[in-house]
Amino acid sequence: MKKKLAALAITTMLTLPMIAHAKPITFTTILKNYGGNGAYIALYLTDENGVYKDTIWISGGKSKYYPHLRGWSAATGLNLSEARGITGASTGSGRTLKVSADLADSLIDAGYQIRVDVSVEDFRDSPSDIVVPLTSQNASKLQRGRRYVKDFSYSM
Amino acid sequence: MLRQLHSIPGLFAAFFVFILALSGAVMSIQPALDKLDAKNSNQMSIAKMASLAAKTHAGIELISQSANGTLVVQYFNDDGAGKDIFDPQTGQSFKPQQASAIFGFFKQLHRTFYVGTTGRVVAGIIAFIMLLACFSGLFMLAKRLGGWRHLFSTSRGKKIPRLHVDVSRIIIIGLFITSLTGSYMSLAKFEIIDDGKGSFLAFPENILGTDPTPVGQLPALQNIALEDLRELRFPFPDDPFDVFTLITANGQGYIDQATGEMLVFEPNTLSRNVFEFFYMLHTGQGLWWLGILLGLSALGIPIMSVTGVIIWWRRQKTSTRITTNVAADKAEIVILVGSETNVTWGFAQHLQQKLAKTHIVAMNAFKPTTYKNAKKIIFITSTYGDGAAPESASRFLQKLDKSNKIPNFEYAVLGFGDKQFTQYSKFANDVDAALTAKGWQSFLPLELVDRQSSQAFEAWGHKLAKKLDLQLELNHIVSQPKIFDLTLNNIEDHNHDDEFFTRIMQFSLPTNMPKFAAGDLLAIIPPQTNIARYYSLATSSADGILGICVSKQQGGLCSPYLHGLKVGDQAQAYIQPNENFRPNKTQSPIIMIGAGTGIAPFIGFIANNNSKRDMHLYWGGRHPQSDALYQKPLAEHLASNHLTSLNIAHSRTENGQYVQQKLTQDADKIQKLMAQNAQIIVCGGRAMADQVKQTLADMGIDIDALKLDKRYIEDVY
Repeated sequence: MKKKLAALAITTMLTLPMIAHAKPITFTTILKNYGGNGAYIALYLTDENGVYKDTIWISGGKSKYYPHLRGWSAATGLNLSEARGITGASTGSGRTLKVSADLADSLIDAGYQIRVDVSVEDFRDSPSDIVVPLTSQNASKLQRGRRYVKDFSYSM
Repeated sequence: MLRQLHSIPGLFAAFFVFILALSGAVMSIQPALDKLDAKNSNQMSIAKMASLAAKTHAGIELISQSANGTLVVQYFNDDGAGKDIFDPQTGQSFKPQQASAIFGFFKQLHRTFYVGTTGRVVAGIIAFIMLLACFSGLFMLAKRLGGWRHLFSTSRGKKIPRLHVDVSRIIIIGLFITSLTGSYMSLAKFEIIDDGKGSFLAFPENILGTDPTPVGQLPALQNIALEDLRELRFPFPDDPFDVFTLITANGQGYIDQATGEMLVFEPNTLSRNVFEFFYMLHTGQGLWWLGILLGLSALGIPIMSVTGVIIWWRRQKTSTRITTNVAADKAEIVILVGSETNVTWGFAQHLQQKLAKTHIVAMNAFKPTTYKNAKKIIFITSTYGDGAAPESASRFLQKLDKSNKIPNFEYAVLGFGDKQFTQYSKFANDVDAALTAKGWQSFLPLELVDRQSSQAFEAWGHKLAKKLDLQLELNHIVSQPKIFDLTLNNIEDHNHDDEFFTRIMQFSLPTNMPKFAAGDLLAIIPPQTNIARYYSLATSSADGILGICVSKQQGGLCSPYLHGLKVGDQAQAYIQPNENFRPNKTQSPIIMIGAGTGIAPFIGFIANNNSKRDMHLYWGGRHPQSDALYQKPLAEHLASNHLTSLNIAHSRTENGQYVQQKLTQDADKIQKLMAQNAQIIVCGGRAMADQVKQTLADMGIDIDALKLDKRYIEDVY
């Protein structure tokens, strides 16, 4: 019995720091009524100079169109392994993409930016449609994209 | 095998093909409509056009050119987003580009049947089935018409199969293009074939990021003709590191917005070019006239589906099952059948059921060594198309060739055919000749049955019975039509010498009788028999009366009966269409040659000659006083120019002559008429017809060639 309790204590001690150092963040991307086919979207992190850091989410049906998520694909060489999640469908005009991912605390308020690339068939690609610093202060604030994103926000 | 490959997938696909064809036909108009919006660009450069468009559209994002040459500008500014068709000469929009709701509806129907991915898979499979049907159909067509050389010769046979063949010849090229490209596009959609769309040009890194140059001055855009443009994407205005993306007919590239140089350009891959080519062929985008042609051929598909199903269904109906078949080694008589449409099977089985100890089997299953107790072997075969073996006998001659033993049994051949074909019952002749060449003994000479004639079959049965020393009444009738009771309401008798009687008879027309034309046959069923005798109709349904001409045959069954009828009496009859025995639908002259009662259909043809085309009648009778048939109407038709010339030969007068002699006298005139593409129509007895044929051949007229063109048609009895 004692042994079991000890084991439990040790595992708890090992896991607790993990929980303490990451938190789930919900990203909400609401698209404008741009009137075309479904959009492909990439959510990723860069530093303040735009240098790639990490991938949060990729959404879109066919991987052969991922290169049109230009900022993200150029930085990662289409490497999906860092993505926290992938949605196998595109997001329609006027629709919302809402995803949750765990981000390490060390990334928040540390000078990193969230970037959103959007690509729509037969329309202009829009890399960095959204560029917003990942800070606790910015959380839940609505951001407008330069072409396709009507409202973007994240909540911690 | 070929037929199964054609009909089974065809039946399965018929319904979906219907939808694909009709929706495809609707969409085929789109490229032509689109083309109407294309403005002349007069060798303009892309730079000039783009600069004009950029001036008139704030927030310009991209310019695209459809395959049909319409230019569309997309823009996005404070007033919202827009997508307009514009004129490259002025840069001005003249109408918004809108997806048409109607075309959109049909496009979705065409691609998915409104059931998503399942529908896409079905559409792809159907396209492939159509491709198969094109190929198998083409081979069947060549076989039916007597070889690839004859692919465009006139088709013969019954109405529905002929329609199927005729329509197929018009649309097959269109159908082939549509189904091949459709199959390809489906495979590309499911990424089984690479469409080259995934090739994305890597974004360049060597961008200067200095002040942008106006689009009209970018060097890279100066020298590319506007007609090569597919798409020009503008950089975001506030982003100096963004670039112009240019897609042309040849490839895609990026242009630095400051220097205006092409940073990188990648030509299209082969798979991309293939896709674009197939896409163009399938949709007509960029080739609007092809689109219209393909759309029109698609309209033929419903006809193909319906006639195809009817042909299949008729075959199913005529296929009969063998109930009692004596084993091959026990049978004393073996019947071997060569049949294409199962009609011949029907006749053969009728015979088999009337005979004892008889084995019946397809000619392809020919195995003479197993017929251990056989005394007689009877071949009953049709001919396919212009002289080929029918399906169930396709391997017979080969098999016969390999069997070297002369058997103990004797053989007979009965051939079914159609005299309208150049090679009348050729395959039966071939079989007979091959058997003789092998040293087989015949017990009954070759006989031929024209157009499923029950009479001829019955007559052959009597000869067979005599040889087999038994009683045999064959009365097989192919699909009995609806029988009508006709009332006789006019008679005109011609009998001068009391040995030869001819009677012109008119029956009143029942209201629900199917439509008929002069030259069709009135099948009269004499009482106490169920086998009809055929008489050529001298009238068409528009005349409101059924007219025939009957000469009394001594010892005959039907003609004495008809000669015994009085006005007001009734007779049972039906109409047997004779579609291949009609004047062609041109304005060329017509030469009608006949003797005796063979004049009847000609009277109808002449009466219907409302366009007053040249019609020349050559007719042979016995004596002016015994059979001056239709004298009064003929005189009237001459007066009204319905008939151009009337040439009568009498055989029983002093210096009597036959009709063929009249032809020889008129050889020059006939040659002249033939040079004007005249059609020759012959009607009457076999002996007369053979003489006429010989006479014309002696004049150097190629009758076989004329038959192929339907310029020599005959109805001979």
